[in-house]
Amino acid sequence: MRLQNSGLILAMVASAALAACNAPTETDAASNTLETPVAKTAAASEQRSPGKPSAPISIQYKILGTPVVGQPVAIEVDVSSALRGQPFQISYSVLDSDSMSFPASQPQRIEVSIADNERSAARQVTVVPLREGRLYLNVTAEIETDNGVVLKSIAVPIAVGQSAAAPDVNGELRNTAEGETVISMPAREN
Amino acid sequence: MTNDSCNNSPGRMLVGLVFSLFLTACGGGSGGGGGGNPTPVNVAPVSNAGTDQSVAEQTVVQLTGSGTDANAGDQLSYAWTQTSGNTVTISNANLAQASFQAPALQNGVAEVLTFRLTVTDSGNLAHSDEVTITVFEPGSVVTISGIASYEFVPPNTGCLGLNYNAIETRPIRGATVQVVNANNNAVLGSAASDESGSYAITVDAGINIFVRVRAELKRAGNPSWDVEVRDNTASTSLPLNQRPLYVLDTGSFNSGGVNQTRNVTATTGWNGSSYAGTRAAAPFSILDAIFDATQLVVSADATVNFPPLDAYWSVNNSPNEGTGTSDANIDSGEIGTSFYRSDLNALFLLGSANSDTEEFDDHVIVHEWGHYFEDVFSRSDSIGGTHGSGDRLDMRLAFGEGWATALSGIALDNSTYCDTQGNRQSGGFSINIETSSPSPRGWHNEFSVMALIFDLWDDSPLELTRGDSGSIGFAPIYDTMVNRQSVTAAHTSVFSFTEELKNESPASAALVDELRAYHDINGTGVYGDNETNSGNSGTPADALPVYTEVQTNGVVTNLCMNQEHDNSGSDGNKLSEHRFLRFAVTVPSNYAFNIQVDAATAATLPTDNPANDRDQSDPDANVYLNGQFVAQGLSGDANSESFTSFNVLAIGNYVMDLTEFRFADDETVAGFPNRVCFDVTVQPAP
Repeated sequence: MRLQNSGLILAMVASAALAACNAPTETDAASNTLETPVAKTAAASEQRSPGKPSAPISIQYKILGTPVVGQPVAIEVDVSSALRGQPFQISYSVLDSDSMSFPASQPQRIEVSIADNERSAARQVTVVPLREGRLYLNVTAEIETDNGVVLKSIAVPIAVGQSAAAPDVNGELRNTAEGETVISMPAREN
Repeated sequence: MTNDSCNNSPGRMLVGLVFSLFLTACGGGSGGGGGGNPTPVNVAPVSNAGTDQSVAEQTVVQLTGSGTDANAGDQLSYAWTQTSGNTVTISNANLAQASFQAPALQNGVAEVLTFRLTVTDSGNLAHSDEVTITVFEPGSVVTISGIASYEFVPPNTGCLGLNYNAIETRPIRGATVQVVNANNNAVLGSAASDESGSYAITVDAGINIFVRVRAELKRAGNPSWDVEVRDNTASTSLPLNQRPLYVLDTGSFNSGGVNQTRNVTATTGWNGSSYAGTRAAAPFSILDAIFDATQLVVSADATVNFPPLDAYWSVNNSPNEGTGTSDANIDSGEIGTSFYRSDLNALFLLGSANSDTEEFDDHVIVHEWGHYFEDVFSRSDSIGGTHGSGDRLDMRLAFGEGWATALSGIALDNSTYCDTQGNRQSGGFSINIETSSPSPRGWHNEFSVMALIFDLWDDSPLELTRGDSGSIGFAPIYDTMVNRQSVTAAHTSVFSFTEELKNESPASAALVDELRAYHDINGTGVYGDNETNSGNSGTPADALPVYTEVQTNGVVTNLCMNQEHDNSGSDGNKLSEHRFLRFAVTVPSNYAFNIQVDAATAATLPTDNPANDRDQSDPDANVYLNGQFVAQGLSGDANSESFTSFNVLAIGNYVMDLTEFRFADDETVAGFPNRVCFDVTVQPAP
C-alpha cells in the first residue's frame, strides 16, 4: 500500500524524504501540462547526500486521529523492505516515559513479514500521550542481511495540544564581545 | 580562602563533650533548679579569611575576613598572622578587616604570601582559615596552559550500542583555545591545541579570566582548513552559518602572578542511565573525527586548502523528516538522517538521545565528510535516494556511497563501521568495510565499491582470495579523485574511478584488476565496456551494456529500463531505472535530442485519463560533457521529450542519463508498466 498526504492526516515517507535529495525526486507530473523545468533540474535543487548506510527498509507512518492527553492514539506504521520474504523486527519506544506511555496490551517488539503479493506491511501501534507538546515515538526496524543485522530508526513526532515545545539547548546561550552567539558548555576542570 | 582548621583539638573537644553530658545528666547547669532551661552548649566560631587574590606590588591589600558563631551573643575576636612569604606589616591585625602593603618585588619575580585569620569566641573556642595573596609586577604576564580533552564512548563489540563503562579520555586536537576576560568577554589570547590537546596562552597577570575551547578547527596558510560545529536548532532567527558555535568554558579565575595549569575536559553528560547533563563531549567528538579525515588528506597533499565546512549537530536532530520545508526541518531538527548538503558545505548530524545520535559514531561522521570531500575536491554524479545493504543501485549512487564508507575506514584506520542507535544507545549494527560484499557483487553494489577502495589502501592483512595482494596507499587514490575523476568523460562510477586510477598510477593497475575481478567488475574503460555482470537481473538487457552508443545523425536507438530492483516502486535510483548513452560530437553544432515512447510500450500504458497526470510516461534526460550539463530535457510532456543543447556542443565525448520519471514518482498510477522502452535520436539542430 502507499500512504498519501491527505487533510489532517500526517503522512510521512522516510524513504521518500531521503530520496528528496537529488534527481530521483523530481516533483513533476507527466501529462499534458508543462512543468517548470527548474523544478526538475538537479543543478538547481539542493544537493543533499543520500544519508548514511542503513537497513534496506523504508518506514512510513500516519497518525490516526488527533492526539489528546490521556487518550490512546493509534499510529499506522508501514514498512517495506528490499529483502522480500525476510522477516524483520519492529520495536517501539518512547524518549520520555513521563510524556507518553504504551497501553498494557501494546507489544513493544513485533516480528513482521511482507506478503509475497505486497510491497509493504502495515501495523498499528497505540500510545497514550501524558502531556502536551511535541512527543516522539521511536520506531526501529531490524533485519538480517548478508552483513548481519542492520537497523533503521525513525522518530515519529506526535503533536499533542497547541503548545509547541521549545527546542532544547545543550548548554547556555551567550554572546561574545564580538557579538557572536555561542553555546557555552561547562568544562570539567582538574 | 585556602585552608581552614579548628583549634578544637581532639582533647579539647572531648572535654567539652564530657562537660556537656555532665550538665545534662545533672538536670542542667548552675542555674538549673528543676525544670529550668539548660545552659546552651558552646560551639566554635567559623572563620573566613576571604578569597585568594593577585595584587600588584606596592599596593595596599585588603584582607577581608569574617567570623560567625552559632551562639548568639558570643563575642568574637580576630587575629591575622602571616604564615609564609617575606614578612609584611599587617594593619588592624586584630580586626576582621585588615590590610598590608604588598612588598616591592625583586627582579619582577612574583611572590606568594599566606595569611591566617583566627577567630576566637568568648568561650575560648577558635577556628582558623588561610588566604593566599600573589604579588606580581604590574604589566607582567603569566602563561595559562593545560590539556583540553573530551570523553569518547566506544561501541560495544559488534557495535551493539555504546559502552559507557569504557569511556575514554581523548585529546581535543587542533581546536581553538582562548583565554577570555571574565569581566568584559574580550578575548585575551588564543592558540590551537596540539596533537595531545595541549595549549599555552600568555595573558596579563592579575585579571579575572576563563578558558574557552571552541568547537572549531582553523588553520591559515598551506595547508588550511576551517571547520565549525554549530547548533542548527538554536537562535533560528540567525542565518544558518551564524547559529551558535559550541564552546567549552571553565569557571572564572584570576590569572594571578604565576603560571597556571588548567586542564579541561568535555564530558558526556551521561549519569549511568541517561544523558542527564550537558553533552559537552559531543561537538568535540564530531570535531575529532573530522580532524582525522582532514589529516588523511594532508598526508597525501601537504598544501591542501579545504573549503569551509560547517557541521550541524543538535540534541534536537531526530531521525524524522519534518513535514515543513527543508529549511524549517533544519530549524526544528527533524532532519530525517545524517547527511551532507553541497549547497551549504554542511554536514547535518543526528543528536537525538535514545533514538539515533551520531557523536560517537565516528564512521558515520566521516562517511558524510566523504561526501563533502567528493563535492569540493572531486566530483559526484550520485543521484541520491534510498539505499541499503543488498541493493542493486544506480552505479553513480553505488560509487558515492561506497567511496564515503571506504574513506571512513581509511581515515579512522578502522575497518569496522559502527552505527549505534536505539533506547539508551544500546542498539546498532556494523559493517566490515574490508570484507562485507553481499552478493551479487559488482559495479552496482556500494559494498563492492567500498571494499575495493578500502583494500586498495590497506596493507594488512593481505587476503589473496579477495584480490587483496597489496596496497597502494592513499596518495594515488587522492590524486585520482581530485584530478582525473573530477573531469572524467563518463559518469562517476567504479568504472571511471578504477580506469582513471590506473591512468593516474600505472603501478596500481595489477592490484586494481585483481580487486575488480574479485568484485565481479568486468567492464573496461571509464564506460565499463563489455561488462557482463547484470546483477542477476531478470532482464539483463535493461542493465547492460552500461552505456549504449548513439549516433549523432538521427538514427534511432531503442533501449529499455525497468523497476525490477526497486522494491518501493518509487525510489528511481536502482539498477536499470536509468540508462546511459554516449556519443561523440565531431562537428560542433547545436544538437537536438528526441526521446519517444516506443510502440510496444505505448501499447502497455494505461488509458490516458485527462484528470490524472500520473498515468503516462515521462521520459527525462540530462546530457553532460565531463560532468557539466550541456542539455536537459525535464519537461512533463507525456510520452516524449524533445530538447536542444544549451549552446553549440564542442568536439568531445558526451554522456546522456535517460530515465522514466514515473519510476521515481510515488503517485504513479498502479497500472503503470514496470518496464518502458524509448526511441532516442540525436542530431544537429535545424
